[in-house]
Amino acid sequence: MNVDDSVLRFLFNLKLKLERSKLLVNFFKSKFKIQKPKLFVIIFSFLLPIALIAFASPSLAHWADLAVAEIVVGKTETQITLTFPTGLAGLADDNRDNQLSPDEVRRHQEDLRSFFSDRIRLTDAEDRNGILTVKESLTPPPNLNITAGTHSTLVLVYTWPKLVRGLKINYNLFLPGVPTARCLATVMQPGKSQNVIFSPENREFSLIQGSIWQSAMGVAIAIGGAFVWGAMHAMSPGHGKTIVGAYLAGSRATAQHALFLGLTTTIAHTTGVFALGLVALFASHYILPEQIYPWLSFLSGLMVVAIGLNLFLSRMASVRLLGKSHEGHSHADDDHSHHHHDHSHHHHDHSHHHHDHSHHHDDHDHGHSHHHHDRATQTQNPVGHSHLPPGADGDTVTWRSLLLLGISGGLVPCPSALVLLLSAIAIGQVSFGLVLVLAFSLGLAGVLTGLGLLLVFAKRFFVVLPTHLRLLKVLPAISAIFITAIGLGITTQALMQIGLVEAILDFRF
Amino acid sequence: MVVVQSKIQNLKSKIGIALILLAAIPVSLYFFSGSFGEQKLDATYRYRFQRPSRGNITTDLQREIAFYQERIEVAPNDGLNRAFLAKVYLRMARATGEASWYLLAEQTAQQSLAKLSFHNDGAIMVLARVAVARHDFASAIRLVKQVQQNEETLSVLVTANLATGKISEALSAANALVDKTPSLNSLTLRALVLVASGKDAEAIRDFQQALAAEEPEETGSSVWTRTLLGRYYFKRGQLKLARQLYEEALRVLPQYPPALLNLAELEVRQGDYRAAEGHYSQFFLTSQRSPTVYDHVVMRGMARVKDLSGDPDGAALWRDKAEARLRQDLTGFGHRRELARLLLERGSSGDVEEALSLMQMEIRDRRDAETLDSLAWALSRQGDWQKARQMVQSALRSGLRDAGLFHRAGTIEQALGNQSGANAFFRLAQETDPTFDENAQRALGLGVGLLGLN
Repeated sequence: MNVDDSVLRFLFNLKLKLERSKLLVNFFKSKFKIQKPKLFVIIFSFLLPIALIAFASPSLAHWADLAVAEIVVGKTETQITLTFPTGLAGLADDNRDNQLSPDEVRRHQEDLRSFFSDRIRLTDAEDRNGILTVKESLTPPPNLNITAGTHSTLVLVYTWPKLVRGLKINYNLFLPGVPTARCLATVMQPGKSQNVIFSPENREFSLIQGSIWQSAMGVAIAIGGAFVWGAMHAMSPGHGKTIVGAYLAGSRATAQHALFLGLTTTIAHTTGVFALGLVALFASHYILPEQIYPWLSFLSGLMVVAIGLNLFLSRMASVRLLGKSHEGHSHADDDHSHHHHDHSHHHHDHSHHHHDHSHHHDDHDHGHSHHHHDRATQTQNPVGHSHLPPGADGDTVTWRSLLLLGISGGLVPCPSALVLLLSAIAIGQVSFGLVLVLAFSLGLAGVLTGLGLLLVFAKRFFVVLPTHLRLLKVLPAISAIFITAIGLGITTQALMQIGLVEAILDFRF
Repeated sequence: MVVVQSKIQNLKSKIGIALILLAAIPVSLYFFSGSFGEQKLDATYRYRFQRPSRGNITTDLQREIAFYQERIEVAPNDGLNRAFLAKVYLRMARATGEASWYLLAEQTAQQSLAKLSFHNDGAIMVLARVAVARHDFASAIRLVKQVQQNEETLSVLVTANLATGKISEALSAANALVDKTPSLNSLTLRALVLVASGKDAEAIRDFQQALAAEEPEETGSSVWTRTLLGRYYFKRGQLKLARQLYEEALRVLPQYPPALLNLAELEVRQGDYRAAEGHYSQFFLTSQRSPTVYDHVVMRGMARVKDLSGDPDGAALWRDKAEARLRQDLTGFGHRRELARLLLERGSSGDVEEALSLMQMEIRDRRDAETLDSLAWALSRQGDWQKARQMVQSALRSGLRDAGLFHRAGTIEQALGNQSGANAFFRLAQETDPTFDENAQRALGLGVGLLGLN
């Protein structure tokens, strides 16, 4: 398929596609029982780009607006056998029977030539028009003619004095004021035949590819489009953003952690798309790809629940310990180290930044406290700080939990990316499909990482809050509960999609 | 360091488990869906062959089109290749429902006949099939009579006679067809005639035999039969079975329009308007390129759904679209009856008048039960109850058992003051469909007709 044509069609169809996207929204709205308008708006923003790419045109035209054409492309001559609503060329229909008879065609040959040469233009690569001749079409015996009195058939022959290269067809024969009229054309050229639908939004058809530069532009646009699509798609619900947010907000996360998490999610997502694409290809005879999504959601949901519970237990333990330690000592007692960077505040003597910060690395363990926690979390480890860099006890960020979180967030590949890959496979462009999925995933990664970084840096604003607030002390535990709840939600929804809930209810009642 | 290593080990084992789980999904899914499928649908009705890959049918048709086009390119004056090509276009039209392919099939068949005007039965049969699709049943029968009788001509005769209410002619053609080839297609056609003549038990037997005779390469007919059977059960109030059959058809061919639209009708009947709207939207999403013969059904369905959901403005919008579409299609696909029903649904005095005039025209061409019922509806809306009664009685003469028709007959009798007669009809409606209630009445007329054409 000509990439440039696709881009042009994309632009021409914009308005109509917007209308069609509403239908897609309706479909998903009913499918997923979306009730909340806010969520609906978010999902709409996700669906819009899909709608724009996927839709061609509305189907409101009718028989009397339709035309069909058989286009046979030769070396110096192209012949179009055109069946069209007779009313379009009413000038030649002398007896007003809605049929152009051979006599009428012969009588009005010049008028018809002029009429059609204005509306169906065929040009070569040098923009030279073909010279048009209009002929009557061979007609079957009259008793078999059942065209319902609406259509006539003519043969249009376009000739050029020399060999034609780069033939372009400009089809402009539509009923005025009928934006939904169509012409289905089959184009036959040596060794190749294809179908094309002309419409008021899609009047051009080119038989050969454009220049290398044009193709390169098309490829670049496609890759850029996939990247933007991925970025927009990341804004939609899912992809662990909420989980990432809850996790990063409730732990001692740094910018590296946010980057790592975004990257892990993206890699997991891309791998998931590739894996599911392969599974879908091989298993398509037995199962529908969309049947796999609920199972992946289920798996992902279970992992999120496990992570949430794990975090909750460890954080609750910390909160309890914190409570005990607060009863036994005050912060004025400097029996454990507190190190606050980039800010100053009460309770502590901030002169005790006496540690070497170079030990924030993976390959060693220390017997002293750590310094990455901010004001909101600084009291979480009142006793016995662990020193797995960069914060490895249940309360703080660990690479393991980040990795698991990233995998669970990206495990469910979005259908859009899968559609991208499978469409590319279907048209035999596997490698290009992989590139597009990669671009899509990079877009996704950009947004996820950006959001992660935003959260990490935004936490600094909370450091001015007083530390003795109970809510702040239990905030990490609350965020863990939130993660667990999200996991449970994902799992339940997946079970409902699988039909297990319904099956159990049927069994019971 | 040791702690780190142990954590890494731990992590590796967890990732391993996750990967094993991931790999196990397709396998477990296959068995899981299989076992649930068994519980859901009777084995007799399940599709037991490998279902085609998505898009395979149209891709194969495209290949066939290219094949014949290449042959035509080599021999441009050959009429037979054009006849074959026209036939493939027709199959494409039926697979996609897109009206343009019908026009292309017709044009190509005519070109074929222009080049080869004798012994070209294939081209004539394409024209006959297109005529059936356009509800021009008289032309279809006229064309078929010019061709030597075979399975295809009998099949067209069954369809055309059934659609025009000539049940005995349809039955005799169906019997001849089944005698010649007791295939999925022929047995289904006979089942349809039997349903129209009220012989339910024999119809079910034919449906079941049809499914027993199905072959792997006739996916289109397989889903068609299941959809019709589903609609039969729908009309008998067995909604769960109807749903399962529609879903089975959609499992085989995921976007099959008649199954999708009948499923939407079922959702309307069960009061799940959101789900119905979802099915209609899904239909539009999958029929993007060109107009289809089902569009007006969807538009009417959307109008009904909007009405029932308390959105009169939305309903009016969709009804206008459907009306515009049906008006323009009167010449192409002969949708007079559908337009009349739409006008009656809207129900202004002008609408009723026009609907009546449309139905009076339609009844000259076809006198099947549905057409007679529509005319009776228009007459009763005009207050002409006596004529309405005559029409309903004509419709009932075929033997068709339809709760909607019995209900209309009951209403007419009630209006004429014959309460006992009315009660008898209401009882018949309940016997035919024990779940026939107000909800069922709200969903009337939204399904795709038993002939699969609209």
